Amino acid sequence: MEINKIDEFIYEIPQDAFNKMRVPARFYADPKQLDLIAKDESLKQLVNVATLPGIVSYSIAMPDIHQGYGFPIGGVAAFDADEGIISPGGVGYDINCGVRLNTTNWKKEEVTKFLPEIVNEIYRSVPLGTGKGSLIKVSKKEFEELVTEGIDWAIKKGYATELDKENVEDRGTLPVRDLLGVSERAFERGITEIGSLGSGNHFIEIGYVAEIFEPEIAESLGLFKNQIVVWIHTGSRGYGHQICSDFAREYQSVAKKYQIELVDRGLACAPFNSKEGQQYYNAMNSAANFAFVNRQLIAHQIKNVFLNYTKKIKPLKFDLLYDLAHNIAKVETHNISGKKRKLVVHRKGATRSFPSKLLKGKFSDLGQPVLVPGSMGTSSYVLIASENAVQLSFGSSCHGAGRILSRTQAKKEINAKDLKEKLERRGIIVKTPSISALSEEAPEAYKDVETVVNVVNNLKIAKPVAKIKPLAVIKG
Amino acid sequence: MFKEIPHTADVCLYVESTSLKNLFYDAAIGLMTISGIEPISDDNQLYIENYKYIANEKEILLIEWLNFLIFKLEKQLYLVNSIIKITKNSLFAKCYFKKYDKINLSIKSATYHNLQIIKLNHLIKTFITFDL
Repeated sequence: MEINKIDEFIYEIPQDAFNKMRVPARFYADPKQLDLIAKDESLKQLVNVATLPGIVSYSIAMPDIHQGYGFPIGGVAAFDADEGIISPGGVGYDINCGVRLNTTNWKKEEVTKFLPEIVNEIYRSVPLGTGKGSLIKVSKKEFEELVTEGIDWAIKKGYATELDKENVEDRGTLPVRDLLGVSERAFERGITEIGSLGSGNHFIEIGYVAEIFEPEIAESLGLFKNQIVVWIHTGSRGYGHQICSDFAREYQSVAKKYQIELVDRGLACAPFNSKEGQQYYNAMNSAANFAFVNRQLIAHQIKNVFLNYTKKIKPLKFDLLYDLAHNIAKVETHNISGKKRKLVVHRKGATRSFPSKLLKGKFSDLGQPVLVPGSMGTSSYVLIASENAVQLSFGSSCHGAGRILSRTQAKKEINAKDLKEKLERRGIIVKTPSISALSEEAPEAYKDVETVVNVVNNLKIAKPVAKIKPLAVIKG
Repeated sequence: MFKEIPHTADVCLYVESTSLKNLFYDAAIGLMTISGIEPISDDNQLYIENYKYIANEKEILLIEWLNFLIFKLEKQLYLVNSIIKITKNSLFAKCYFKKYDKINLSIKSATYHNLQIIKLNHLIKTFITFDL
């Protein structure tokens, strides 16, 4: 495949690389990681996305790109809202899989002694793994309200505050006109999994602020050195998976109906403005609302565990720094060749990264926080969106380190028990219901997150503010 | 027969059988295997359920079948056996489930990524990518 270097860290696959491409494909990468990126099918998938109707400018990938299904993970694709499509495969099965970072007023040295008990209590009180239930029970009617209202529902029920809402992407509620596209099975799966972590690469991590790169911004975000923080990485659970499954099936015939040629069935899509396109859009937004509430409820539960330790440690301040989606399609207005255009921006394994000029409200002076968790046991980063994100990536950034080893290979190469011991020797507590699955998430299975963050920093897509190191990981 | 094919983020299964019916059966057993089911010892309780799906493409029938089984896995039930009947546009299966003790790999969905069921040298073959 022909790959041209456009600039430092910017690579392009020209439009003539494949005769069905409507635009070129671009990816951002460190030259050191080019071989890793080219190793699997991800660039072919990036090219495939460039064949879809209504795609604008480029099919784009972030430096954490890796092979997915249909669209690659780490992919960003914007489609014209009038002429273009919406694709469930461009969002993923875990709709609004995302991450949140809660901060505390506790310091590492105050907490270390109590950490093993705290971790055990969280492990016992948050449902982890497959089919392990929900934190709360609701009726179908309440569930419908939850997925329609998002964080507003959590506020109404006392699980969140107005302050939390300000710190969630799109204030924790995406528009849902109706739930006509949501199947009974989706409701059944969702209602039993509210406030649950799930499994795979989902985790809760307690860490501390190890390094601050931008003191003023860090202060504005409420970050200080040695501060205890909590990461939560999960999404819309069975509710989102079912919605994606239902539409991935429906769109097999819908694409034919609208004469959309698909080079891979995983790209199945519908015109955004069609009845079918709007049904998915509404259902997807309802799953995104579920995910915002899901992460909020888990955070609420963790806060309750922490509150049991206020006498032993000190009174607790538990705030939300930010909560964001990294599997979503959003309607956004972007400036394309001097003209404002309404686009449907698909981010699959990519984080929105809006600089201040694109934001209203709380972060309009600072820009949006961008959260980049590393692989298990490695550092994670808090970044702030920079100016170039607008022109380079429709206001998007990387979402993590990006896998390099298949799960099978990781299991072959990495012994889970050894890994757990190795992490524990470094002072990192690891809790999981499935020890054998640990090796799949080993640091060796991922790219170096620091190199990935360096790329977005060098391109001025997002700027590192603080580095966070792990103290305890609860893996689903 | 089935075998796992390396995939960076997810799981890919190659399934090959002598008939379409057997392909569906093998794919189901492949799914149970990659899920890493740990059964409850001394539990002989069987849960029987009839499953029916109508679609005009065998690929859709296959993905729907697997997604039904993934849904049952979430309900703590794994497939131990099934009697499958396939017509041109429908799948009927009498399914025998048991409760499991533990599952080691949670699968979100069977996907349509590059999905194609082909017949070659008297064998029916396909690759299925599962999202994790």
